[in-house]
This record gives sequence, structure tokens and C-alpha cells, in this order.
Amino acid sequence: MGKPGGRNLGWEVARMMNLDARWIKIWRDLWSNKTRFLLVTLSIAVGVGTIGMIYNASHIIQRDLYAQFKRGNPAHVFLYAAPFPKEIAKAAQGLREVKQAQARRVVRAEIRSIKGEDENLTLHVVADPSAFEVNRFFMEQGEFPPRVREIILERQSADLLGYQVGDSVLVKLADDRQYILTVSGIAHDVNEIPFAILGEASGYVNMDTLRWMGEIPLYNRLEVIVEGEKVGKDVALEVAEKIKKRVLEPAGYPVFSIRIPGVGSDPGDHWAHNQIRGFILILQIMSVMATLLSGGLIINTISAILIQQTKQIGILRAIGASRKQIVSMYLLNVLIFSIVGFLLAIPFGLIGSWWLANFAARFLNFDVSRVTLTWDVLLIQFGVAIGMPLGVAIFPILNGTRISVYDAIYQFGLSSRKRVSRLEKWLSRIRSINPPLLLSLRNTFRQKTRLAFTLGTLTLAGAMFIASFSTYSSLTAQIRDVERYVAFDARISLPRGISKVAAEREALRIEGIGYAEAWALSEGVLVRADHSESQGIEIVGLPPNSKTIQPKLIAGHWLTPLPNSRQVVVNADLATEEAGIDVGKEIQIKIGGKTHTFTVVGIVSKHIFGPRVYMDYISLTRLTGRHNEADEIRVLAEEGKLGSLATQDLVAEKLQERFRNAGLSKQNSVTRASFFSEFTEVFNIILFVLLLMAGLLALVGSLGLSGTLGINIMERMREIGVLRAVGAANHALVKIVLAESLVVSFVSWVMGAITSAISSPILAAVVIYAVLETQMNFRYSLIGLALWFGVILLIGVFSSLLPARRAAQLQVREVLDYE
Amino acid sequence: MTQLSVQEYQKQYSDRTLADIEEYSSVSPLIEARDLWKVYQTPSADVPALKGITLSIQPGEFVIVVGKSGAGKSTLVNLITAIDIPTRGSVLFRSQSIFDLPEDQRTRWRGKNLGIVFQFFQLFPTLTIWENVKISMDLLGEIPMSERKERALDLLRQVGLEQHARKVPAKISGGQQQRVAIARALANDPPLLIADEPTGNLDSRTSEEIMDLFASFVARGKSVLMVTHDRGALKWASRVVEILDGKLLG
Amino acid sequence: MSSVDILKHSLPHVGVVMETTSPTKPLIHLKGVSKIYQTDAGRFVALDNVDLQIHQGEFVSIVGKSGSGKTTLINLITGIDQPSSGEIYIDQKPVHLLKESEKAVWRGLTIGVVFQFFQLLPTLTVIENVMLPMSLCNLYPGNERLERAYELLKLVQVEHQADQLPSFLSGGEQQRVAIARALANDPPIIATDEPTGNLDSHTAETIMALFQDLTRRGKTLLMVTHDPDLAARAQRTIALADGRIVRA
Repeated sequence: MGKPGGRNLGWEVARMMNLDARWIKIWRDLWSNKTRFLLVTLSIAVGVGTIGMIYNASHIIQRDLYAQFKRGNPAHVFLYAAPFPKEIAKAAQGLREVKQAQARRVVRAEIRSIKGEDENLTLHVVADPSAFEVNRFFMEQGEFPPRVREIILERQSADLLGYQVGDSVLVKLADDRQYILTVSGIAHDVNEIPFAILGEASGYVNMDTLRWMGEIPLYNRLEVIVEGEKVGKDVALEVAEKIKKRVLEPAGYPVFSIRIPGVGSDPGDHWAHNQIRGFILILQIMSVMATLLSGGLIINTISAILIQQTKQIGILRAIGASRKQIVSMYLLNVLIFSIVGFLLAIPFGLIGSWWLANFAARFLNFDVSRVTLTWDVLLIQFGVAIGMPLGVAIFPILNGTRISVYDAIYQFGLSSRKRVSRLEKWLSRIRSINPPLLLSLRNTFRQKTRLAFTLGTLTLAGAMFIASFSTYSSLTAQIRDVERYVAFDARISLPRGISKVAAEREALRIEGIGYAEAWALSEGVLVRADHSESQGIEIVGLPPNSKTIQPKLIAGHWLTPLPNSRQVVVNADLATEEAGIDVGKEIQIKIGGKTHTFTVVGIVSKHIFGPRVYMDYISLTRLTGRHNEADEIRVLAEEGKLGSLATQDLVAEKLQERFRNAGLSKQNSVTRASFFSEFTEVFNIILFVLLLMAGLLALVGSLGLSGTLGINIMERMREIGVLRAVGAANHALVKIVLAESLVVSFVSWVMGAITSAISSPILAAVVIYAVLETQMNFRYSLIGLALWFGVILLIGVFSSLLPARRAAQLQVREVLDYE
Repeated sequence: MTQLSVQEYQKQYSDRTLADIEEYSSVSPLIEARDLWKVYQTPSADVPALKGITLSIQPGEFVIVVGKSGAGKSTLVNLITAIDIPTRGSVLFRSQSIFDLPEDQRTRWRGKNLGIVFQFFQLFPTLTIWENVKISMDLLGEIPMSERKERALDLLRQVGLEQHARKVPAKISGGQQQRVAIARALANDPPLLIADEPTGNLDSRTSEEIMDLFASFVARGKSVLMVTHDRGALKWASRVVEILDGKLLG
Repeated sequence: MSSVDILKHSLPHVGVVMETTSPTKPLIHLKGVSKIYQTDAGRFVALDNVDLQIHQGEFVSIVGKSGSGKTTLINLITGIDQPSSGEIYIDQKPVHLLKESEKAVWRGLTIGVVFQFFQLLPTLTVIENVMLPMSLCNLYPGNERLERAYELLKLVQVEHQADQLPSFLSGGEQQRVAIARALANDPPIIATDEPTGNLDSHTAETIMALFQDLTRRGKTLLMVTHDPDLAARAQRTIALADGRIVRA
């Protein structure tokens, strides 16, 4: 508490404006306890500022990212086809439904970074640089189009690879053909999934360069914008189908796949549109929680003020203040907190949104143009900053002023009470020969409303904390589930025409490889009952007794070794996406232009990386006409056992080297671990954000607990004086306060554990849906529960430090004189 | 220390009060307590604090209720000021029954007609001395805004504290704080001052000064009701009533 | 344990063995004790150079008007307040040199304090309130505490209320419990400030009788009061006025 005699600015201001002494009193009371003033205004500022931060940031992201994305004129749908001339685009544009069509060549290559590591690279060639209109990018340095032997790099790729304009870069194409290109420019391409996320760099060359690199000067991707305002997925696919049937196929260019750009986005939307929406949703939940918690803190503080001022309220009543006058005085008090909190919240929200938008911009590769204060966000902030504190404070104010004048003046601080609640009677039955411990235990439950707020905050924090861990463990459990389908130590892709037997034999010759197995891969589409076609599906032909897959069956059974049986097993990704797929049902799949009927014998668990159909190796090769050919070889160091990280690396290196030397494949091999590394990185970011959130809640909860203990001590000053008088040393007082704190902490832990049973699956579902666009199995994290127990104990100890010190510092005489 | 019994006091002052009583006999009492009972309910038993007190105060009287701790003095003050509610009985102010008024009107009545002085002064610690006096006027709002400050300073002059007007209560002594409390009690010019052990926390010299101050306001037409256990204060009273175990003696 | 030997100690049992104090040596000895309060309003002398000796077994009342310094005097003896100057010896221990936390334990063992407003802890039952000082000073083995607390309640005749919360008791009963609590650690001195201030005259009478009984059992009793009738019940009356002893 500040000295009441201290003079300051607020004091002088109030004096100068010959105000009603009531308002002067409120003003001075606020100034007399600056710590509390700061605590309340900051808690309002944090809650309301978080709202501003999140709403402003989502406003900025939507404005800048989506505007920059729209500026590039994004395609609605891609058609991947056999190499075709650019005139095809003109023909497609002739269709009534097509607004724009553009041909592009995309080539998978590798680029050596400045650190000497080979990274994946997608090389783009735009058909007509003078009419570059779809999925456009914008030059930041240098000129477009690039000249021969020049390459323009996407800015994030250039940044992470370590290249600048004028540098020479090594680009490798299939069959290990290596070329040196000069970086002639840096482009900003919002259409491409950034290097930082996908691990694939983007580069742009002209057709002459590509021809020089030994590629045929034709195009393989048709980028289409459909006529109409808002184009749905089905419309875009329908139009693509029409282009395929009327333009590409009649001209003799088979279409391999039709794809809507993005990760489950709608046509014309940013590739991460749904994920961003999900992420903003999570942030909004966070801002609502922060607001609720700051509301709790305000209730606690206002109660504390009213307790401190109970006697003064009594005196005010005694000298003629009506209840209405007193209520309005304390509402004004709250209003001042609110306005100052609101004023602090505006810059806090702006700075926060600038930080958050820039974080997103770096991650998603867009530019933040400016941070603006919009009226609607300001209005929401104002409403919450003013409305919420008044709304929550009105209860303690009405309660605090309802107390009779007599009680306010004479009874306050005395311990005799008329009523004893059932809970207290029950607690009085607990017997112990240690009365100080009983004192802590029973004191905890004396102020039930106050306790409820503290418990509520800590319970919420605990539920959030455990839910975060559960979300993470659900994600990792899901990953572990996915691992069943990637149960190899290393894998390498094979070019066309490699024999299965040759590949397996070669792999088994390598020292340290105990098992090898070749798969045939193909792509197809599901033909629905109404003859419409699905997006592309991965078709896998594998030996039914495969050792590099451990299928987890949800329904039915795995493939039986009956060649040509037309049995298929589908994954849950396909089964949930397409209606009418079930065990025993027949499905129609179009492979290589022909539609075949299959019987679904089993459904396996979710793969996350897309819909897949498994069938017997021989059945698939018969359908594709590529008898005895393999597309991928999967190896294990030891049959029936997954290798360690080191084993995987060793096996992968040997495999790559041997296959290269034997002229079987020039591809890079992939280990199981590397397959998952990107997943886990994204998950770690999610866990970090969630824990940050739980940490914030825990911090506010801890402030609340500390405040509550402080108020309790203030209320029971006399009792502390009595304890001192009957022989309580410092450590005894500290123990009593600490025990009370730990009782609250423990109760909140139990309640948090119970609440987390509900909060965890909800949070996990929301987060997983937002990030992966899929539903997953939930796994409760017992580790999270145990960790929270440790955290809550620490919170209990830390929260009691200050109040305990205060209790120990009280002088007995002061306490007993306390009136 | 010579101590006089209540009877002796009454005898001593009877000559003076007799004339007063005749003067006021045509006037109704300022405030009147009728058969006041206060029973505190505890879980174990009902504890009566007041057992049927009847007391009236005429305008211009200085009445002191004297009794030991626990006799019911404070309870009596709390009931007469309507700070607490009686279990039975009524309080009439100028023939108006106070407990028949709704709570808010009772509060206004108290602010307008009673000036209460507490044992522990009970000034607002964050307000200056003159602001402590002014707040009573601000709350009631009957004295014109422009006159309030002037009136506050004038009251402080009357209790001899005008030079301390801009200090906060903590900067002045206990006796001075009690003078401020008296000035505050007079802010809305009430006809009746009620004081609960106003000298209970003061040394003997300061107590005498405070008692003189009360007497001076009685001389200027105010009525005073005071409760105390200090028999030394009785010589200022125009009438003394003794209370024991919740009943008035004699 | 009989109700007689629960109060066998009349001297502090801190330290190892106490030398039997000769009757001439005072139990409480104040030498030139002053207490000056420095307030914003100025210097206030509450006690002015007080010398005082009280012997074991005495029943001493301290009287004076409000503001005479009687509460300050008892607060200094119980170590609740610190003297501005002078020395206070209780059983030859220099109390004025103890730290606040040390004083709490010393007080718990040496002086039982009985307050005007009883000050029982509302969340503890009657018997737990009596056991509290034993726990805090870690006196008596754990299993004896309950038995001893019960004997003390018997002594003050409220043993039938042992398992009640204090709010269920009448004022007089609460004060009896407070006295039992003051006796919990068997201290040689009982100090009390207006112990009957909140009780009616009949109940006050029974409390006074209890105090007189305790002095017969060898306890030293200090009682602050402004009531001359109560003061007269003590063997010796110390009168204070404006911070000085006017009659001892």
C-alpha cells in the first residue's frame, strides 16, 4: 500500500478541479495502491489486447496474404498430362466455361544449397512470358523472363538456400544430369507452398534453358481458371473433366491427374486457407480464455478493494451515502481501471498483431503492408474492456455494499459468524492432532466465491495444459499409426522398366540389408455411382505378405494371397472421403483409362498423406500392363524389425550408392525418419503455441491464487495476530499459508484432471482438424497430467511466497489494533 | 479522583435542567427510543443486549449514557442512529418512526439529521481534512455546490483546525482527528450529534477539550447524545442516564 | 492426568533446568521503560520511564483512563510491542532483546494471553483451539495434547462443548475456552486486557472467580481494566495516568 500521505500527479489533478469529494476519494484510493492499479489495468490490457492482437492479425493476414495471393490470379484447377504444346491452352480457353488457361512445365529437380546439401527443386517454365497471367509471381530483383542458363529463384528458397542474384547454382535433373545456372533474379511467388514448410525450392527458367538441360520443350500442366464468381470444387473438377475429354484426350495427350491447388482448399483459395482459418480459430479461443481470466482477476481485485474498504463503506453509509451512491462510486472505480486498461490494450494489441502477422508472413511467405487500427476491432475491444469489467465487478460491488452498516463498521475483521455451512461442519469432523494443519484446510473453504474463482482459473489452466499434451500425444500417436505404412528402413524410387526381381536381388546383395521388397505404384480415380470421378488415388501393388507395412485394420481383413482375385483394401482416408465404401461392397476404379470393378475386403487406418488403395502386386501389374516391373524398392536391415536412426541412414546411403552404380535408379533414397521429420516440426510449433497458452493461463491463475491468499490474510489479520500471540513463529505462519495454497492447488489439480477429460478431446479434435483436415483417434496424455501436478505444486509454493511473507511481517500490535 | 454517583449528578444539575424542561415541555422530543430490544442470535443461545430501553432527547439537551463495557451502550447508539435494526421497539425522530422508512430514505434521514462521531474517528485516509468534511455535503447534496468548500473551512475554523485543512488525517494527532470528525458530523447542519465513546482513544487533557467542544455546540442549540464509560465526562452533561446489562437504571 | 497437575509449572520450562527463583527476585522486572510513538502528527509518549516489579503468584490489575498507557504497558510485558527505551526482564530473560519471531515462541511458552474479544479461531473446534499453542510450540507429545486440552477444558468447565465450533458457544463460554487456551502450554504468567469487557456482569463475575482460582494455583496474573470494581478483586493495583505509574 502506498502511503496515504504521499503526493503525486493524480493527487494534484483531483485537488485542482474542485470536484465532488466522492470522486476525489475514488481517484486518490486508486493512486494509493499503485501495484494493485497496475495489476488490474494490466490484466484488462492483456485480455483486451489479446483480442486486438488476434483480430487485427487475422485481419492483416487476410488482407495482405489473400490480396497478394489474388493478385497472382490463382488457378482453380490443374490438369497434369503427357507433354503437350502450348496451343492446347488456347484450345482449352475456347471452352465456354473456361475463363483462362495457361500451360506450364514443372520439372522435379535438385539444387545444391550453399552448404552443399542437395534440396528438392521444382523448375517452372511458363509457356508465354509475355502473356503470363495465371498463378503469377512478382519480381523483387532482376528481370522476367530469365535468359538462357539463367534461373530466377523464389525469394524464400533463395534465402534458405543462401543464394543471391549473380550466384552460380548447381541444378541436377533425373539421371544425375548436372547443370550450372546463374541466378538472375529473385521472385515472390505466393502460389507455391514455401520452402520452409514443404522443403521444396522453386525456380523459374525459360524453355531454351530446359531444352539445353536435355528436356523436351513441351508442357505438362494446364492451369485453368473457371468462369464464374465463386467456383466450387465440383464445378472446377467438372470443367477440368470437360477439358480433358474435349481438348487433351482427343489431341492424344492422356491426363494423369486433375488436382485442385492447395491443401484441401476450395478452388481459387490460398493453399493453406483452411489451416489458417483453423489456426485463427485456436487463437480466438485463446483470446476468449484470456478475457475470461482477466475477468476473474478483476472480480478478485474488486473484492479485495471492497474488503479493504468495508469499514469506509460503512462510514459513508453512516454519514448519509445511499447504496446507489456507493455503487456508483465503485463502478466509477472500475470504469477508471477499464479505461486505462483499454488505452493500454490498444498499443498492446497493435504491437502484438504486428508481431503475429510478421511471424505468419515469414512462415507463409507474404508481406505485411501495414498495421492498421480498424474501427470494428476497436469497437470490440472497447466493448470488452468497458463491458466485461463492469459486468463482472457489479456482483462483488452489489454484494459488498449490501452488508449492513452495522456489520460494515463493527463486525468486519471479527471472526464470529452466525452461520456455519454444511461444508464447514463436515470439515470440522476431520480430526487431527495438528490444529495448524486443520486451520489451513478449513480456511481454504471459508470464502467459497473467492475460492471458486481461483479454482476456476487454475482448473482452466490445468485443463488447457493437459489438453495441449493430449493433443500432442494424439498427434504423435497418429504419426506412430502412420508409421505402420512406412515400415521400412529406407526406400528408393525406381524409373520405369526396372524388373522387380532384379531390383530385389540387387538390394539383397548389399551388406547390412536383410530384407527387400518391391512395390508397383499407379494412379487412378474412383468412379462413383453417378459416373463422376474422384480426385487422384494412389494405387499400390504389393506382396500380400508384405513386411514393410503393418496394416491396422479397422474393418474386414487384409489381402489374401489369391492373384487376380480383384480384392482391394482401402485406407480410411478414402473411406471417409467417398461415400458408399464398405467391406464387402464393390467399387469402380479407373486405372490407365480403363474402369475395373473391385471388392473391398478391408479398411485400414488413416494414412494422412492421402487416399490409397492396396491390391496384390500381380493384379496391379496385369491391369497396368507392366508385368514384373517395380516402381519402388523398400528395404529393412533385418526382417521383422525396424532399424534405428543410424541404421536407417546407413542402409539408405548404401542403397542409394548401389542402385546408382548399378544403373537402377539415380533417385535419392528416403529413410523412415526423414519421412516424418517435417510432420514433427509442424507439431512442435503447435505444441509450443498450445503450451504458451496454457502457460499464460497458469500465470494468471497463479496471480489469482496469490491475490486470494493475500486477501484472505488481510481479512484474517486478527487471527494471525492471535496465532502470533499464542506462540506461532515465522515458519509456523509460513507453513499455514503454504498449506492453504497447496490445498487449493491440489483441489484444482483434481478438478483440472476431471475437466481435461472433456477439454482434451475437444482441443485435440479442433487442432487436428485445423492442421491436418482430418479426424483422428484421441489419446489422453498421462504424462501431461503428471507434469501438471508438478507445475501446480510449484504454482502453489510460489503463489504463497508473497502472502506468507506478508503474514510473517505483520506486527502483533498492529494486527490487534487493526480496526 | 472523586466520583459522584449518578443520583448526585442528577441532583446537582436538576436546578438547571428544570427550567429547560419547562421551556421545552410544549415541544415534542427531538428523538425518542421506545421499548428498544436487541437480541443477538448465536447458534448456542439468544443473547439479549438491550432489554426494553425507552429514552427521549429534547432539543438542546446534552445527554450522556454511562455504563461499563458490555452494558449495551454501543448497541443503543447503533439502534438510535438506525445503523442496526432493533429486534423490537421503535425510534421516533420528530414523531416520525425511523424504521418504517425504506432503507434509502433512512440513510438520507441519517445524513441530514444526525452527526455521528465514532470512537476511532473514522476519517477517510486518502481525503484531506476539508475534503473529509465536504464529502458529507456532497453525498447529501442539500447545501449548494458553491458554498460547500467555504462551509467546510468555516466548520474547521469552529473546531480550531483551519490551518490543517489541506493535510491528510494521518498527519494530525488523534485529538485533532476527532475535531475533524466533529466538524464532519456538523457538515449538513444536523440538529442532533451522536457520539460513541468519542474520548475513548484520547488522553485526559485532549478528552476535556473534545468535551468542551461538544458543550459549545450544545450552547449553540445542538442536541448531543453521548455514550461513554468515562465518569469523568459526566460533568458536561445536562442529563445522565446509567445503563447496565441492557437496561436503564433509575 | 488430574486437573491439579496439569498446572504444575509456575515458571517457564524453556531451557534445561530452572534455578529455583528466590521469592525476592521478581518474575517481571521493568527498568526505566518508555514507549514513544512517532506519528506524522508528532511525538506521543505512551509510557514514560516506568519501573515495575511483579512477583510470582501475584494478581495485579492495571487501571487508568483511556490513553493512560495501560494497554501499552501490558503489550510491552507480553512482547507484543517493543519498548523505545529501557529493559524488560521476565524471569531474568531480556525480552526487549528478542526478535519478533523468537518472541512468538517465547510468548507461547511463558505468557498466556486472554483478549477482550476472545479471539478464538472460528474454523477450529474448541478443543483444537486449546491444542493449537501446544502444536505451535511443539510442546507435549502428540498423543498427550488431546488429553491435556480436554483436562484444561474441564478445568474451565466447558468440556461438554469440546467438539463444537466457537460460534456455537456463548460469550462467557468462549472466554473460558480462551483461558483454557492461554493455559495450554502451562505458562507462569497470564496476561489479559479487559477480559470481561464484552460480557454481562454475572458472566464477568464467574470469569473473575476463575482468575482468582488460577492465582491460588501459583499463576501470575496481569489484568488491564478501566473498571474499578474489577480492579479491586486483584491483590495489587497499578494505576497509570498519562504514561506514568501514579500508584503501584
